Amino acid sequence: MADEAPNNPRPFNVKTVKYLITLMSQHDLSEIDLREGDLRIRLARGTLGPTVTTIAAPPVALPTAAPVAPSGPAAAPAKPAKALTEIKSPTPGTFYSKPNPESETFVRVGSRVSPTTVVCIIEAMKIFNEITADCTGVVAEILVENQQAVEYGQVLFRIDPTG
Amino acid sequence: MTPYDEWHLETHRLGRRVLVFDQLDSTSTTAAALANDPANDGVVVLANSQTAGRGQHGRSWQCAPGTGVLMSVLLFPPPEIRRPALLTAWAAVSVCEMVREVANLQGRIKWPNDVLLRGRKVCGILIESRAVADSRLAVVAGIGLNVNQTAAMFDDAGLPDATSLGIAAERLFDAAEVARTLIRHLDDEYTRMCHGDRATLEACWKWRLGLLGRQVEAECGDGKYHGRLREVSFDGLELEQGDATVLRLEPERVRQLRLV
Repeated sequence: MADEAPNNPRPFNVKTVKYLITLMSQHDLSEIDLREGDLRIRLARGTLGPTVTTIAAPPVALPTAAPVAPSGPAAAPAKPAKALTEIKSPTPGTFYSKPNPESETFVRVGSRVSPTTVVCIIEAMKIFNEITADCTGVVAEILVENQQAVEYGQVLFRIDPTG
Repeated sequence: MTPYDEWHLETHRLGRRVLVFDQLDSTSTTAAALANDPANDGVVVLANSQTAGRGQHGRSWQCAPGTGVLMSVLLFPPPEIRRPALLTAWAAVSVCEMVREVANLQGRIKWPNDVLLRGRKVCGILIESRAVADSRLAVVAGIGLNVNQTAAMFDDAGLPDATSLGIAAERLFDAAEVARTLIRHLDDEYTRMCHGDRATLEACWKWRLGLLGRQVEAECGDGKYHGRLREVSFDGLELEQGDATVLRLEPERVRQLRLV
């Protein structure tokens, strides 16, 4: 059921918020409060003042290591044989796959990484943050394109620790 | 490459050690190379000229020898201030405060971190960070400030939208004194942040962005948003929509912010 609308916006982004606001107004709802994991979005409208819509609740911080989470077979049913390690974006921003436009990419599918390998840069407000793999293995998947906008916690790479 | 001079300023954290070079590839590359030693927290690298000064994402930063301040600061910020919005505001506001002190001019901040004098760019800031050992985050803040360049020099370089302190104030400046004043302001603002006071920085940042109450366009990764800017804070930019709702955008999501 979770995959019934794969083209819909991700759960917490501006498009979703706009959509929710439309729904609230159509059905005259005064409040919506949604949670998913660490993310929470609460919309309220009333007569006391304008509604304030907050986009993306988790604190934004430059990490000393990218959040890494193992994704077991349950999270990736298409690849049940291997448990891949995910490298996620620590902040909303822009993904850069190479140090500058003329350079080679930091890594490609099949590249071997160690915890200190720089895998990409995430830029936010002109702060360029080098992301290190923080794990050992081989790059199995790259899920974003160079210069793509990314969200907090978005999976950027999957690493095969047994590779 | 060895520095030809070393300064020891009486500051809290930044600039207690300033390495002054005649020429470097890039002050930021030199500062980043010092990041393996925690004792280098607050070290400032200065150069009279750069052969490979870096601008944003691979662009070059041009500066004729001796006409500007080329500086990079190495910091290991504590976790509570490792936020792009804070670090960007810290650098840009510090530059504006220095300009006010040395030239009696009010700089404006063009989102996210260009400093403008009379609508022209006087300073570029490039901040890079990376994880180093022991959960430390090494931040290198590179600042290129135009000091004594003339309008003719910018014309020759094909930079019609650039200006310098000298052009704006119609006099020459002592670049070394400008550098020391900038380091002191960076140190003051940084120390205040480390002590938990963000309100002062936030107020200065908001005022120097100068867009409150105006109709703006905020360009984010997933599209452009319009509205009247009713608040700017580290928590978010609030855009008042036509239907009495307010959209709050996290600063880190906003790539460009401009008047419409």
